[in-house]
Amino acid sequence: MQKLSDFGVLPIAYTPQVIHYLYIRAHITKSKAGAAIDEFPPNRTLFVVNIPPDATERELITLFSKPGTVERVAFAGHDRVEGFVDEETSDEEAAESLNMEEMEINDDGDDSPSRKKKNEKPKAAIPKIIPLPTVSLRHLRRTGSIGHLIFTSPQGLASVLSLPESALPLTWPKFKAASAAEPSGLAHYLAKYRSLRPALSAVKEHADSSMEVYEHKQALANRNTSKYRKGDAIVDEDGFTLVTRGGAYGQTLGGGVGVASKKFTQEIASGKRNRKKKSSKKDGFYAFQVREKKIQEQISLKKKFDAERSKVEKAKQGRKFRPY
Amino acid sequence: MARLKGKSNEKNVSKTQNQPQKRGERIRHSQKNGRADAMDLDSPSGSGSESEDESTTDAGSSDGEMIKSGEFHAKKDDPEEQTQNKDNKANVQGVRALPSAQELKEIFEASELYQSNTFKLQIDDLLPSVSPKSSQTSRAPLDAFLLALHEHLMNSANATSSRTKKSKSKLKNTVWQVPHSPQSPIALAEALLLESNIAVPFPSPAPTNDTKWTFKYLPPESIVVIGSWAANLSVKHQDKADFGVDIAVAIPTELLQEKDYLNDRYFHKRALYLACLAASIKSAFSVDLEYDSPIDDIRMSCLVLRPQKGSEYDWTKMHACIRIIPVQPADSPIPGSRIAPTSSNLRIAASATGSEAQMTIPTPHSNTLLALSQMQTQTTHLIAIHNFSTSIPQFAPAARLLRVWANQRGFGKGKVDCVRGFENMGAWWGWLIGYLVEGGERLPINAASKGLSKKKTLARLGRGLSSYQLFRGALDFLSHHDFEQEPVFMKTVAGEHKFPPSSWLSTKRPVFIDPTSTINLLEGVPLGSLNLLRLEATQALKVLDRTSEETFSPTFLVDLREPCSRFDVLLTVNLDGVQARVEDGLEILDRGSYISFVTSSIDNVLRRALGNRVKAIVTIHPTSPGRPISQSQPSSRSSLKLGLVLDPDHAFRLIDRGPAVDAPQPTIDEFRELWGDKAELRRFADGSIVECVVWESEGDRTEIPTRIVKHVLARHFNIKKIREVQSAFGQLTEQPRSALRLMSESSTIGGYKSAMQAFDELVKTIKGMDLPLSLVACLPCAEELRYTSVFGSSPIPLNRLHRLPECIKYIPVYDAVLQFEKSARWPDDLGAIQKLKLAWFETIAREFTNKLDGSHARIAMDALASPVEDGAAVEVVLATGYAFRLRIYHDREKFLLERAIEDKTLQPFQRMDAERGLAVHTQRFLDSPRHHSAIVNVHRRHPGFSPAVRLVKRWFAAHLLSNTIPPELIELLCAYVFLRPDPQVTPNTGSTGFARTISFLSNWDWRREYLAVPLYGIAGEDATKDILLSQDTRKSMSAAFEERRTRDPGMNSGAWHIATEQDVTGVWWCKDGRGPVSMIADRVTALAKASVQVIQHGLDSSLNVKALFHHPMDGYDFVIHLEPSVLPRYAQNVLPDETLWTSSLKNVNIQAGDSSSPLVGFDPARELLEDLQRVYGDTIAFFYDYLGGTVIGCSWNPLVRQAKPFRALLGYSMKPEGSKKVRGNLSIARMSPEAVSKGHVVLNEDAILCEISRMGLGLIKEIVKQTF
Repeated sequence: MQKLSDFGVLPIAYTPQVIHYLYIRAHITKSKAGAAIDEFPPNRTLFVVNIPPDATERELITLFSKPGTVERVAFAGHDRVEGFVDEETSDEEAAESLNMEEMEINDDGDDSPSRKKKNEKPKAAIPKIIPLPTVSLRHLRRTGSIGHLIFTSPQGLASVLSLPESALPLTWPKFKAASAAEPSGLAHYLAKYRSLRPALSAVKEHADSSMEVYEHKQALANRNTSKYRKGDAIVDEDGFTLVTRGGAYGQTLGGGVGVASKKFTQEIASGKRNRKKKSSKKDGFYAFQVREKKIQEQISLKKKFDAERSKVEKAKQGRKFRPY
Repeated sequence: MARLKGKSNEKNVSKTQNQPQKRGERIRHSQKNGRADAMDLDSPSGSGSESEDESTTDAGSSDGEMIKSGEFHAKKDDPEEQTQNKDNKANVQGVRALPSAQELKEIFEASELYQSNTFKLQIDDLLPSVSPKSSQTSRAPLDAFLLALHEHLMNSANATSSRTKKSKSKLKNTVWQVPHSPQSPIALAEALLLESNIAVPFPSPAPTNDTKWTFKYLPPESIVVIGSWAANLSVKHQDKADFGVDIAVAIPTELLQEKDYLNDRYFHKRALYLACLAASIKSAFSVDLEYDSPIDDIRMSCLVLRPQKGSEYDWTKMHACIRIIPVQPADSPIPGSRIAPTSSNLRIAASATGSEAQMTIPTPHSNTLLALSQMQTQTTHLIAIHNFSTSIPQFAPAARLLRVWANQRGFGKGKVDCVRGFENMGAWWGWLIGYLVEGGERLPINAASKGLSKKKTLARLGRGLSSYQLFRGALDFLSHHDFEQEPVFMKTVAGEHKFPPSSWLSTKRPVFIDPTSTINLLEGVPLGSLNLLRLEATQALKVLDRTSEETFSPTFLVDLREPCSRFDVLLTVNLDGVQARVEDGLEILDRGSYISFVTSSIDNVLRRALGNRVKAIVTIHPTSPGRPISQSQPSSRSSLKLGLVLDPDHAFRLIDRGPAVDAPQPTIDEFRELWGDKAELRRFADGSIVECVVWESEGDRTEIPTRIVKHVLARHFNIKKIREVQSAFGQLTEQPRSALRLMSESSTIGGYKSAMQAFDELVKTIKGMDLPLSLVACLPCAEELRYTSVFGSSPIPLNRLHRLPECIKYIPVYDAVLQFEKSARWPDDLGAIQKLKLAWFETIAREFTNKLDGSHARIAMDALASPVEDGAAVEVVLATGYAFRLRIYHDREKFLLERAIEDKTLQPFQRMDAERGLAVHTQRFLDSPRHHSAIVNVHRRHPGFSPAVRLVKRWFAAHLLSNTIPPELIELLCAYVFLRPDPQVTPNTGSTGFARTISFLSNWDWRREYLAVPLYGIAGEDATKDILLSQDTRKSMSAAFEERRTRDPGMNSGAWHIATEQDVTGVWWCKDGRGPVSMIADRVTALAKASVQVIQHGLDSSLNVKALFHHPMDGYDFVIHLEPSVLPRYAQNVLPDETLWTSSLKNVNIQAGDSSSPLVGFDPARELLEDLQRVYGDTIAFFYDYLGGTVIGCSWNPLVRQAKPFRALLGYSMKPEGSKKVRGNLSIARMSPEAVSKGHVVLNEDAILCEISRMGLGLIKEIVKQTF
């Protein structure tokens, strides 16, 4: 295999005439020694550059089926648009990390309905979200993207890295239209169109269950936060009233007597709120002040005039003032 | 200024002028300057006009330096400055670093008298460039020639005289032999033709052999330079035409007789004399000679002399031509009374009707020509103009400004599109200003027909006004004065009227009498042209009033003659076989030719027929070109253009009412004569029975004026060949009829109206639903619902849908926003809000299917939406074939999103999601509805807006730009053209609006100028009212623009900065890189320029409108051809192949076409394109026409095409450099070792094309590479 810097150049024949090039290298872990579970096991992960934008996991698995068995494919590049992590994830407890791996896998072929499903994670002893039905669709990534192939065994990786010249180029797999789970082209767009319009009943189930989950969480959160009710002053045993800083409307969630909002105090601090003080200095009291002022005015007038003239001069270079 | 530069440069350059440090230095320096000034003022060149001295060009660089360094004195030598003791002033000023009193005065004057400093400076720079050069070196050859010419002509009788030999000119060998004995005109003409190949420009009827009088050549009585040149008022003409040096040559008295006034005999003699002069000059000088007959009137023929390059008198540098005009001598035997407007100087020979009657029919046109052709008149004029120049300090600059302004609007000479009647009116602008300052002759009190004013003093402008003020005053006069009603009599030389004022009025022409009181200067100017002038003046004043904006260039620098964008209706009339219904022999003679007669009567008839539908009707044609002196008659025009400026309030009415049935017979006859069989008697609802003409509206009412013109021209002038572009343009925004027929059985359904009705029905249904919260508003935001979609709606009833072929199956979806009453029960969490919306949609969708039979409702999720952003909508398809996409607006979302963006505890990608969500939210729920309603307002205000936007959108789409420019931006662009039409009038038809927008695009310097569209101020305002932006808005707009340009100098987004009052930063439609980048904007400019060219040239030949919408594909690197039969929008293509849906119904339904879930808004080509842009956005630029385009033009990004060192994240598909092409077999390409060692990679183009065709499987027919 040819080498390009420290990458192996792996030609892939799209058609007999057209060759696509993958650039491959064994994955090098940068993670600290302590990291218990690496997302990408070091000795059986292949780092791949220039994955075809329309490649699916299945196609890649098939492509490398000869040298070794691919366990899974991790397409890299957090496409922000495709972001799958919900706002809620951060709210939730530490159990997240366990899910991470699973989510990585699900990332490919992702489309909004399926993502919706994942947003709502099952929680112990709480209502479950019923996901919207999903259809596996081809997912297009930006051209020239990178990814990781995790082989089942280190041998698989090794044999890929040492593919003999005779085996090259590998042929890009082509599935028969009927068997293609992930169609492309016109059929893809039709399938996508349909998948984006799920049955009403499914939507209802999904929405209702999601709302249940939300309310459950909300209730849970409320329980945790405060015993105080909004608007009620909090008076402690000694008779002191608790004073809290106000929110946008001068009221805090937890209750208590509001004081100046943060914004207000900031404004005070930055001096924006300073009332205009009448300056003790009097203008135009002395004759010299009047004179100075007049002179200043005249000079500024002159300056303005000159500025305008230079503007015209500039325009003149552009258009020459020749009307025709 | 120029002069100072030339002289005091050497002194100035060496000095550092930046705020001199020491006082002493300052003083010394300013003294020097003062001296320079003084020297300058002493210099003898007191001509007043600033010259473009040759020396100035050399001094250019130091000139700039002077200005930068704040040279205080540079202003000093302004021509209009008074001579004062400068040395003193300069001293004081140097010490104090203060502007001198003189300078202060100037600064104040500039802003008070000239609108603004900038304006004054710009005027100062403009004037020299339109005036002839005044330097002695360039003038000398011309002056020398004039002298020689004078000498030659005065002595031309004795051809072989010694003087000619003495003169240094090398005379040609064949000296024209002056015939000494009187000859008959025919013989003389023949001799001239034989000997010198010179034809005599006889007016018809030309003299025959029976002609009694004889003629011989005598040297002229006198020769005088007249006109603008003599008065030093010349202004450059359009199209680089030369300055005209008019020379009046007085025909000797002996050659004329008293009776010469009759039947143009004087003009015959004049023609002969002219031919003799031509022969004489031809033999004596090496100059180019040609005849010129201004305004197509052969009686006005003159001889034009142009310099030959390299000859002895080569005055090419002056860009001037000499025009020799024979005139009657001062003591002309023709009696002065003959030139009275009422005298009759023409007789029709052997007329059957009584000659008594003819004696009394006046011939004002020829009389005017006769009067103009008098030496006395000309000299009087010269003196009068000279008096103006001396008594009004700023007369010359003002007259020049006015003429430049007029020339830019076609009121002058030019090779294209001049307004009829103003060809020879250069001097009139001067007269106008003179009249306004000096006042006119008072009219006898009892001469008051209703319009005659009884004002005591008629002077309107002060003598001491600045040139700008005079110019403005003249515009003000033009914008108000109605020449038809109020005649103008200039102050006469004699102090009294020569002919009774009423006699002028009886000519039924606009009247503007010159100081000799014998000539109507406006004779021959059609009223329509004056109406147009009035409109233009009004418009120009509007511009000048807007002091906060750039006013100079729209007033003086922009050429506004292009008729397609100027007139609402433009017709090219072919004059072959023209035959007037009513011919008046005498008037034909009076007008000089049949064509002139027809042209003037077309003007009359059309004005009667169109009435108040139009604000102005004008005939436009190029200035008559010169002709060789061997050609006697000017070549007659074969066609002319008619331009109409419509009055939108009346132009499109269906019925023209005539006289009532009981009106006097002559009025009824007149009406019937005008309209022919179109006139009919009708009874109206109010009980009146009236003669009227009804213009049944066959679809488009905007074509009524065109139809009227066509009808009238056909009836009265037998003109059938009329070309116009309006209807051809109209076809571009309609789908082919064959497709429409298939789509729905009745042709009446469709158009915007039925779409609106469908929408109203939808809203009513939702209001009737049993929902937890009641509907507050349903705001549409779809092009189809604001009259700006390229095609009016053409719904496909659902029961027909599944039978249609794939290529005409497209059902557009109209967006709308639902706003429910406020409720506290919304969750306070973005994700949950989205889920709740889903639940809402589900309820709405169910209700719909229950309530509306045959309709479908379902929920459409947005692909790629993040969980926090609005990501679903309910899609309702009515049985009639209208589809709507409804979303729910919840106002708290915005707050929550903003909070999420600010929230520092969130992950960066979460905040980015929120940012994106906010962008989607504001655009969907805030910007779009607001924009929608504002655009609807523009539509209501201007009937021409909607058709224009549609055409412009079509144009953008046809040039494969629909994926790069959001439609809202195009709407804003057109709205700008309609709301800020200055300096022209608002267009009233689609074709005009289109042409105007395109020409605007071709001129818009979007790098440096932004658009401020006063879009939101128009709500509820009258269409005639001008909407102004407040100073503050304007300021913040400029600031936003500056900020954007400094932040993004490469213009990677928002190359077009279009701001409105609500969107002062101009970002609504440029978020997420939606707005055009500089590359696209450059493309648009280039395309617009090309289109403008087509419009300009196409009208002269036959403009194939579709040529404007044809996009050449050869500029692209590769082209993706799509399969038309599977494109649902293919029927919207500019040039669709109709057989695809008419003949073959076999490719119906490759998709399961169950009618249970109709595919609405499904456009796979667009989806493919968006995917391609997402995947290859940095590698390839894609260009596509969403309106049924079958090709995608693609260009490689030149940056990625270069070889680069390998990196993992280059972001495009690359192959190792040096890998050879694989030929045929599977052998792997070998890389040359050195290439590999360098480790360079190049773009793998073939692989990318292969990937693209994989992604577009079933959609892409082929991909054709055009560059390698």
